[in-house]
Amino acid sequence: MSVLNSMPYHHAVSRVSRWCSWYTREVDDQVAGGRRDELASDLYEHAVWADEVGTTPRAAARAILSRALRGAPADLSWRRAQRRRLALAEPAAYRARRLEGVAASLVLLVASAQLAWGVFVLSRIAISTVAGDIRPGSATAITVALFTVISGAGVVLLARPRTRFWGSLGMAISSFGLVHFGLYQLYSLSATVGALTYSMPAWDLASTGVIAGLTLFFAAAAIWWWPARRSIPSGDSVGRITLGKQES
Amino acid sequence: MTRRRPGSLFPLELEILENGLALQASAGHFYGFALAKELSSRDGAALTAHGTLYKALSRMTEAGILEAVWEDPALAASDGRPRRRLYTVTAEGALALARAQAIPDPRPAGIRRGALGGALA
Repeated sequence: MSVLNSMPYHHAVSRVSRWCSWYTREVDDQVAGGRRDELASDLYEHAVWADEVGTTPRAAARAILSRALRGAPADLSWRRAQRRRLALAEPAAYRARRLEGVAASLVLLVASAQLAWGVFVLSRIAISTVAGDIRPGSATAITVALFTVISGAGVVLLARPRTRFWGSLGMAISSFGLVHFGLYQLYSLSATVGALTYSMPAWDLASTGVIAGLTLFFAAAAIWWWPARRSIPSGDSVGRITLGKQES
Repeated sequence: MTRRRPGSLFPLELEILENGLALQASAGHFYGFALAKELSSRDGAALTAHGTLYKALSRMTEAGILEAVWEDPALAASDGRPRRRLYTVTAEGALALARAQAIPDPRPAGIRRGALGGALA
């Protein structure tokens, strides 16, 4: 079998292409497209050459991955230089992209923490159910599970620019359920939560504050990513298509 | 990371100019992978990493010591392969190489200086 048609080669090309799509994102479209096309040509020529010299598909794939790995620091350095150039050419657009990136990271971080809380409560419920401390399938447990699933979906939706509005909305909806019912469930399962409920004078106020804070935070994020609002094109999808065409 | 001094060429850039001129003499131009093969065959080392090679080519093109044009897509399509980016060493690049080769370099693995004036500053 020729290298060009082998699975190891295609796997290597797929990995290198993904890496290239990653480091060329948010770079000037033309420059990024040029780099992707040039790399696609290189990968093809490498396979043809490997066939000519009688290299096995596995060895050719290893060589391609090795070249990509050794060149990664230079790729990152090239990316930084291109981004700096873009920032100098279009400072307003660059600032907007930076702000968008910071907002997305912050919301994703808080959403992940909320999801982690849901998973923690569910794990405590599972342990207590196995130990026979609580009966399985209680209404509270099902509610927590439902809101954890919504939170999980929210985190996934938040990861993609086009679906961030729906992700924020999902997180805003689930924040009340996860915190309220989560604490309610832990009250009977966790000695710490039980003790805090009695010893901390402002416990109710604190839990209400957390719920209100999270709901407002995610509602604000949903407004920020309201569908009517134009998102900044990253050029990533275009890049994938370009490289995909070259590979086919 | 090694910082470039104004008006200097990295060893890789010197090798690209040397090997690029050799390829250019036979084919009229050269492209990325052909250059990687040539560099590897000269010193027996592994093929130059993608990032290292294309970053250097991009930098040298911007500095004006290489010229780059995309191959005619119809030609590439007729051969059933992706189009290549074709490079040629410019007159300024050939001059920079000649200057760099004329300057004795006391540091074998160091950066050769004074070759480009301000071209790569």
